[in-house]
Amino acid sequence: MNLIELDGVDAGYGENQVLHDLSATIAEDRVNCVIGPNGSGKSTMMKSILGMVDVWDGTITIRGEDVTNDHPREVLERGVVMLPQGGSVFPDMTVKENLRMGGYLIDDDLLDRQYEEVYDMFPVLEEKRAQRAGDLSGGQQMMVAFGRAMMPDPDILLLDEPSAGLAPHLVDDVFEQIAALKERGRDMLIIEQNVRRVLEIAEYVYVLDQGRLEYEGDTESLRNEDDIMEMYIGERHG
Amino acid sequence: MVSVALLAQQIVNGLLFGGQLALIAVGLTLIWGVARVLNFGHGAMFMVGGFVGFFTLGATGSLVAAVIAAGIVVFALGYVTEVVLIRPLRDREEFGIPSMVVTLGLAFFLENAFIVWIGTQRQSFPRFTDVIWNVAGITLSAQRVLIFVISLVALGLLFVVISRTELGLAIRAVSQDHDTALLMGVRPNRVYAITFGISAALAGLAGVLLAPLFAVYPSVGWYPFLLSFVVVMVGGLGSVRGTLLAAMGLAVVRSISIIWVSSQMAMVILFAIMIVVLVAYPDGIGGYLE
Ligand SMILES: Nc1ncnc2c1ncn2[C@@H]1O[C@H](COP(=O)(O)OP(=O)(O)O)[C@@H](O)[C@H]1O
Ligand SMILES: [Mg+2]
Repeated sequence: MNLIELDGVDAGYGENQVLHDLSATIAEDRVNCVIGPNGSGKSTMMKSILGMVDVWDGTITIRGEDVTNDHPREVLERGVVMLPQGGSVFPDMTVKENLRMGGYLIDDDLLDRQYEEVYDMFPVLEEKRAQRAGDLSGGQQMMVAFGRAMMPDPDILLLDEPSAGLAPHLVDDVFEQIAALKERGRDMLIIEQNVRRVLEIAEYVYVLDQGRLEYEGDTESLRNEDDIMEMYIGERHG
Repeated sequence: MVSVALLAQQIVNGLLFGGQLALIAVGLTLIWGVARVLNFGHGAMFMVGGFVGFFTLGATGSLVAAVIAAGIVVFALGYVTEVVLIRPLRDREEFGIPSMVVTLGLAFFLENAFIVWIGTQRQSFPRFTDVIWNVAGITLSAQRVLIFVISLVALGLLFVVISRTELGLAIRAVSQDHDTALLMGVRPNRVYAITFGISAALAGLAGVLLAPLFAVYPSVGWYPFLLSFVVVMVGGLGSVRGTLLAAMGLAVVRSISIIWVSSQMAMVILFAIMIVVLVAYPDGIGGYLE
């Protein structure tokens, strides 16, 4: 079944249109990535799914239910969770309070189980649970953001450039984390500048340019598209 | 002549008044910290609280009912003010100045509405108690101690709500990062309205608690507003810790100045302190207390 569907979406900020007639189908049971030049509308696409940016025209559905311009709450309740670029942890909250925010909409009796899940994934977060998140290192803040996004046990996790701005060894950690999530069968939609590495993990690719979908298909087929590879990925086949 | 006994007396009086001032000023700093509104209508909330208390007392004869009614009615007034007057401004590019002007307009509107409705005369409010204690040569009016204790309890409750409850978590999330709070499923608009309500309710509560000292009349809110304005500027807008410290410190300065200089000069001195602090520390002292 199709999990998320964008159909003819126009969206933007104020007078400035960013997405142009964008249609894309995000199926279940796979890891997807969105690539494209800076400013091509990748983040805007993600934010339009979450209801964080005005959709001017077209529709967005989740499992067939229309969520166009709904409050992000409605989208979260349908199992779609986004990790914003840079993580955006709440700096003046403790680590545990940040996780609590991730679980803001879930039932209280599920909370403890989810804390355990997250602490299993990132043991250091349990150790630092009472510390102010803003005092942690960049890498640890990213773990807080990851853990926070995992709190509601999402059906699909939307990651906006999770490796951006991190030191090289931390970039490795992030991709290991993503691979581990894939291993456990977590659906994802990942925006990445680090195209080579994300293509090692993603099974399906969307290429965006100037707010338009230039290509979609599975990763293997993409490798045979010489024009796309050269233009957006900077590699030539063979 | 500076007598030690009188000095001690004025320090105690100042601290007692500081608790009440903190009650008013914390609401002002809270609504700035969360919603970035400098609420010039805060004194009007104080005034409305006084009148609600006055009428409830007249109707029921119960001081407790007067205090509770003031809190509830002024909470509702604050909530509605946010939804009707502030929310429509929020989508504009420029928010700070228009929201300030709107709240100033509301203050004048409410003041004049009460003048038309009730007139400018002072309605006196009965004292809660006439008991006076004498402790080590310092006179303590039981009424002022009671008001101080109620103020501390209200501030303590606010602290518990903000640091320990789900509502408090949502309030802190919105004040730190509106968009990310939205991404977690928080409804920031509701948080703004509730925070505005809480902030107003604190002023309304102060309005009824201080009614026996200030009486109740349409312009009664301006003096406490100006004092709390000085307090939050010195303490640092948005900093609760700075606001509490500034409220205590400035209230002591005020009560000492009233005795040894004059009550008019007290206000001059407080504003002078504010200006000096703002020149030296443009964001107030709050940031230096971490
Ligand atoms: N909050 C915003 N307000 C106005 N314009 C924005 C905002 N966010 C992004 N834009 C503009 O929208 C376009 C696409 O941005 P974005 O979706 O962030 O691109 P990408 O994530 O692909 O780098 C850019 O031209 C950017 O300047
Ligand atoms: Mg982006």
